[in-house]
Parts: sequence; C-alpha cells; structure tokens
Amino acid sequence: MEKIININFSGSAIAIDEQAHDKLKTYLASLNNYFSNEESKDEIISDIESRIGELCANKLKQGKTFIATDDVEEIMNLMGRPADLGAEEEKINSINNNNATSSNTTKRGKLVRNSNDKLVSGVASGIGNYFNIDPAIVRILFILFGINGFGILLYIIFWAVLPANEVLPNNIYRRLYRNSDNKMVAGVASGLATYFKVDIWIPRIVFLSPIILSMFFSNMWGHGIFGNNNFHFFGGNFFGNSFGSMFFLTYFILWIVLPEAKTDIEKKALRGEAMDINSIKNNVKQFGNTIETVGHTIGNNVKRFATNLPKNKSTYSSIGSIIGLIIKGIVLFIIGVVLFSLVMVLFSFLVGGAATLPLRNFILNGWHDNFLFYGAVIGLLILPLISIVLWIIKIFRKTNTNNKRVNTAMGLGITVGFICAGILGASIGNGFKAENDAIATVINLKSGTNDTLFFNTKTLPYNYKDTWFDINALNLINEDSMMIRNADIFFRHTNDSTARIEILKFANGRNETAADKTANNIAYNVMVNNNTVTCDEGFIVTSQQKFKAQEIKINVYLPVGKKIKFDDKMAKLFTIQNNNRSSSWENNNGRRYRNREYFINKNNIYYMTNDDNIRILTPNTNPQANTLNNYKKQKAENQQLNKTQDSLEDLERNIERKQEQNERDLEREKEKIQREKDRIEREKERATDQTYNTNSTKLSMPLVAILTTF
Amino acid sequence: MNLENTQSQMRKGILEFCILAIIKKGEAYPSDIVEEMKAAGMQIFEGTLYPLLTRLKNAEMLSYRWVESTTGPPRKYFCLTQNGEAFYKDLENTWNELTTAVNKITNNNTN
Repeated sequence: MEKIININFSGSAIAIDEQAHDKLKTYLASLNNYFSNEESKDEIISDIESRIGELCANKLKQGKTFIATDDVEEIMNLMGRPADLGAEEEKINSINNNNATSSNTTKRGKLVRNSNDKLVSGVASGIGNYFNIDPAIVRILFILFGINGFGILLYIIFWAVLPANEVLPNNIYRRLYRNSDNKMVAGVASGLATYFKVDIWIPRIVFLSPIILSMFFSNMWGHGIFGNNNFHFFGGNFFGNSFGSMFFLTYFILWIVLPEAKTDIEKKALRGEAMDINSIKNNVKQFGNTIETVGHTIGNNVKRFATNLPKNKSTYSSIGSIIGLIIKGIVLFIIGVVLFSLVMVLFSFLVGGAATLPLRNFILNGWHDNFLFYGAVIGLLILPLISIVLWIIKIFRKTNTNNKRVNTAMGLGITVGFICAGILGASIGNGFKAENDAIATVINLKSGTNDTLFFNTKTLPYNYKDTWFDINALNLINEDSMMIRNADIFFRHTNDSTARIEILKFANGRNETAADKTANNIAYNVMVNNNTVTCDEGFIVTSQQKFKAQEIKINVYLPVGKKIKFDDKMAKLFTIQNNNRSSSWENNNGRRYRNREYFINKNNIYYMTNDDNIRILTPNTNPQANTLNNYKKQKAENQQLNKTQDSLEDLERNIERKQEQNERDLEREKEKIQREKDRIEREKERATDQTYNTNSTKLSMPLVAILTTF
Repeated sequence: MNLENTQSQMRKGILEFCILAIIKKGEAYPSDIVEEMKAAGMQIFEGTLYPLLTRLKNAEMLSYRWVESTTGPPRKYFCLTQNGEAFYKDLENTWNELTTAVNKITNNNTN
C-alpha cells in the first residue's frame, strides 16, 4: 500500500507515489550535484525539470492514475543518470575548458543555505550538504560554539552571506534522525538506538541514569524518594548536579537538532541501509576532495583578487569575494584545527607514555610484562598515529592507492595491541590482588605531660639529579629507585598515659604472603629521642622490589592536652588526618579512611583533644580545657567574672543616676537665679513706666479737647 | 588506450554539429532533437543535450522562444541565429574535409 502524494512539479500538478517521489528527488539532487560546475546550471536544471514535468504529465494523460517508481525509472533512462552523462559529458568538458586535468570526481554543490531542510535558516543543513556530513553534527557544533557567542556570530555571518537555495539530499548515506516508530518522549533515544544498532534500552538507561542514580544515592542516605524528603525532581538533587543536567541538556539539544524520520529514504538513512562499502569510500574520498576544492577556491580567489584589484575600479564584487574568502578561510581553519588536534592528542599520548616510561620498571614484572607493554604501546599508540598521518597525507595528495596489505597489517597490529593491553592489565591487576594485614611496630614515648612533642622530618639521601618528575607527596623517580612519600599521621587520644607511636606498613601482592613480604621490606624508620620524633620523609622502593602500593600509616597515641609542634617539611609532606568517626568507614587496621585532612603550619603549636583531633593552641586556649574538671573550673570562673561584671554595671548605673540628679539640681538653681533676675528687671521697668504714664495724661488733655470741638 | 574514451571523443566533436544541423532545418524542441538523432542511430541522453543547448545559446549560436504546451509546462523551441548559421557553415566545411580525408585514408587501408 503506497501513499500517493500530489506535488507541484515545475508548474504542473502531479500525483506520484511516495517511493517514486523520493527517487525523483534523489535523482534531481544527483543532477544538481552533477551540473554544479556548469555556468548556467540553474537554467539547465530548470529545463530538465520542465521536461520531466512534461513527461510525467504525458504519463498521467495516457491514463495512469499516478507516477510510480518504474515511471521514474523510465524517465531517468531517457534523461540519463550522472554516470551515463559522465561518459559523454566529461570529455566535452575537458575539450571545452581546455582543461586536461579534469578529474572524474563527483561534483560538489555550491555552499548555500538549504531551504529544503532547515530549522532556523538552513545554514547548518547547507554546510552539512556541502561537506557531505550529517547536518545534525553541524547543528550540534553550532550549539556548542553558540554557548560562548562565537557560534551565533558565525551563524549570522553565514546567514547573511550565503544565498538560500533548495538543496536536495545528496550523498548522505547515514543520518541521525529521531525515530517516531518507537518513541517514548521524542524518539531521540530510539533514533540513537537505531543509528548505532543497539537495543533501545541502552540509550534510554543512559539518559535516565541521572534520575536512577540520584534515586539510589539519595535513598542510601535515608532521604531519597522512598525516604521522606529532599527528592526534588526538578530541584537540587537532580537538576542541581551538573551531571544530571548535562544528560538532560543533551537530550533537549538532540530533540531540537534532529529531524524526525518520516519518509522511507530517511528511515533507511537512519538504519544505514543505504550504506555500503562503496559509499563509505566515496564519502571519504569526497571529504578529501572537499578539503582540496576549498583549498583551490581559496587559492583561486586570492589569485583573482590580486589580479583584479589593480585593474577593476568597481570593488563591489571583490568585497563579496573577500567575505567569501574569509568564510572559506574559517572553514578550512576549523577543519585544520580538528585534524591537527586529533594528531596532537595521539602524539601527546605518546609523549606522556614516554614520560611515564621509568615508571614501568616499578610496575612491570619480568620480560613478559615488558613484552606486553611494548606490544600495547605500538599497537594502541604508534600504529594509530601512523595510520592517521598516512590518511591525512592520502587526503591531501588524493592518491587512492588503497594498499590492502598495509591496512590489514595496521588492523592486525592494533588488535594485537588491544590483546597485549588486556593481558598486561590483568597481569598487573593480579599483582595487586591481595593486601596484607598491617605490620605494626610500636615505640613508647617518654615525654613529660607538660613538654611539647616535636615532629621532625628526616631527609633521605636520595639522588635528586636525574629524577624524571616530582609530584609532591607522591614519588621521586629515577631509573632504578623511586621514593614514595605517602605517609599519613593519625592522632588518637589515650586515657592510660602510655603515649606511643604505632607504625603500620601495608602493601599489595599476588597473595597475602607476598604482600606481607613486600610490606616487611619497606624501609621506613621513626626515631624517638625524648621529646623529638623524627620521621623519614618517605621510603625508597627499588626497581627490583616493584611498586606494590606500599603505604605507611603512623598512629600517634597521646594524652589529651599534649602539646605538639611540626617542622616545615612535615607540614608540607605529610597529611595529618582528622579522625572524625561520624563520617569515616574504617576497618580495624585503620587502613581505609574517608576523612578530612589537616593543613599544618610549622608556626603553630597544636594540642591533643579528646575527640582524636589536634587543634591549634592559641594564647587563649588552655590545653587542659577539654577535660571536664577544667570545664567546670572555667565555668565557675566565668560565673564569678559575670557576677563582678554585674556589680560593676550596677555601680556605673548609680553613678549615672547621681550625675543626672546633680545636673537637674544645677538646672533648677539656674532657673531660680534667672527668675530673680527677671523680677528685678520687671520692677525697674515698672518704675519708668509710671513717669511715662503721668506724661501721657498731660498730653492727652488738649487732644481730647480738640476732638470734642469737632 | 581506452576504447570507450576514443569512441566518445569521436562522438563528442560531431555532437554539436548534428544538433545544429537538426535545428537548422527548423525550430526544434529538445526531445524532438533526441528522437531524430536516435532515429538516425546516434544515442544521446536528454541530460547531455540540455547543457549543450544552453552552452550554444550562451555563445549566441542559438535563440529560443517559449511555446505554450497542452501537456505540462511551456516548451523551449530552439532556432539558429546568424552567428549559428555561420558557425554551422564552418563546421560543415570542416566535416566535409574530414570525411573526405578519413575516407581516403581508410580506403587506402582496406585496399
């Protein structure tokens, strides 16, 4: 049962079945590609399309209800396929262009925005088409670069510069689509599963892993989804952790970027069924050609630009070509960077491998281990590097001499490398399989309770001259010996005043006896002399002894309040562990810890506390402060202090009150005086007023007389 | 030496000559040209014809006019320009010279 669709094909409505339509589309795309170097390509294509439209219309007129696949087949036979045309056309081309070096490679379309298959403006799809890669990859790259703005800028430039055009799908034999056939959310997982040919549950588990993990882990600590609180689906536990959000983001990006597989051809491309060895070869070849064409165009553009510039006054066209040039430059640059970094990664592996070469003396055991080691290095590092270099050379020289024997040898070598690495890994792992019970040495301390205990470091006589590298706290390595400086110091309080130091030696080995023997061979010393404890800075492992994860732990048992001081090197080299039991999961040997470390400063004096920690002793702290009696005493003192303070405050308040009283009295006195002054003043005024008053009555008499006369 | 190469090299030179010859007889539609050539025993794909016509048109050897069609889109009918006529004359002369020359040589061989 085929779906019939109606299309508008160069002006006429044509009913065509879906498969035939796909076929026609691919055919036109191939023609488009074929004629891409033709000057009037668009005209030729439109002529051909008109003709095909006419042929289809004729078919329908003859009584067919729709165009089927065999009709398209017939049309293609009439018009000729690119391969048919190539035989004739190629030679005509070479004569017409006077170009003897015409190649028989597939011709490439112009770099345009593809309006046929677009999400935003078709830039990514156009680029993908140009380079024959999955547009999804281009889109993902744009999004990745878009995060810092660069991609957006690049995209806008492309958008502005590239013309929009309908590009039909060509030559992409495999494409990642969302698969709607078997979807749960958007078909992303299903598409990935189909593309990579794995079971559907694998990508789903991967995408869901953050949810599952957060469920399990939060549950383990008692407050997960089955516990009671703190499981926020879109909150802290889940989106908050970057791991989870990364998966979510990936899913969403893929959702946006990937189109849905709708037609048969798209589904086939997703399953990779359209792909065979030939098309892979073609793709690789075309990629190589692309690089070359880009190089050529840049070269030509530069040439044209250089020759045109002095002659042509109208620079408008050359501005266009400059922009084109810049963009092509950018594209070439990106390709170059990718290839370069690929080589550099492998190369750095090689260099890194060489740098760790001295380490192998301490890990590899016997000739067979060495043999396997070199096998793995050659197979997994050197051969891939060589083949990548060869591949790049081949691309640039365009020689298609596919030497099968070399390829087989490479593949074989790499396989052998894998096998060697596997066996070597197993062999090394086997050598670390068992660990010993701690070998303990105890030294008693005879130090007065009020004395300060000094921890010093003894520098070992070690040839530092030709050491390869020095990672602090780890190792100093040369050809035949390496120094391991991984001693940890734990401070524990002891109630019976027998202060002592316990040195524990650990190692791994093939079995427990071997591990025990290796641990016994660790030459690590602690010297005790009255109030000084001198620890070796580390211990030396020779290449005969091999590295077997030898380890030193020092337990120092001290009475509470004991003062401790460290020298400079001690502070730098040793990790002093905090025995916070609530967050530790230690076994009886005290071997495994999950603790915080102390940062030790040589200038501080520390003291032992009753919770197996050491704290900085400041002038204010009383070393004995942690014992209960001292605490009580302190409390009593504090209370006394508080009382005196209270009474002092009372006194102050009294004084204040008195002062206020005095001030008020003073004020009152002042007021009294003022009032007295006022009274005297007023009496004076009254006296003068009386004289004025007598005058005024004398004056007013004639006035009254005047008034009355009117 | 590749036989196919030589054959197609022989053909391609006369292809344009043949096309011009057909068009010279009167306005022609590309598929008619193909039909006529096929009838005469010259295999050619329409896909080969179109670019040739376009090239000849661009070189101002041919001109065309649109003719409405009852089936499908309007058709392009090609005819010779004055340049095309002159070009055809030249080609015809060359062809005649060539055929006489080739005939002489091959006849000598067979004799």
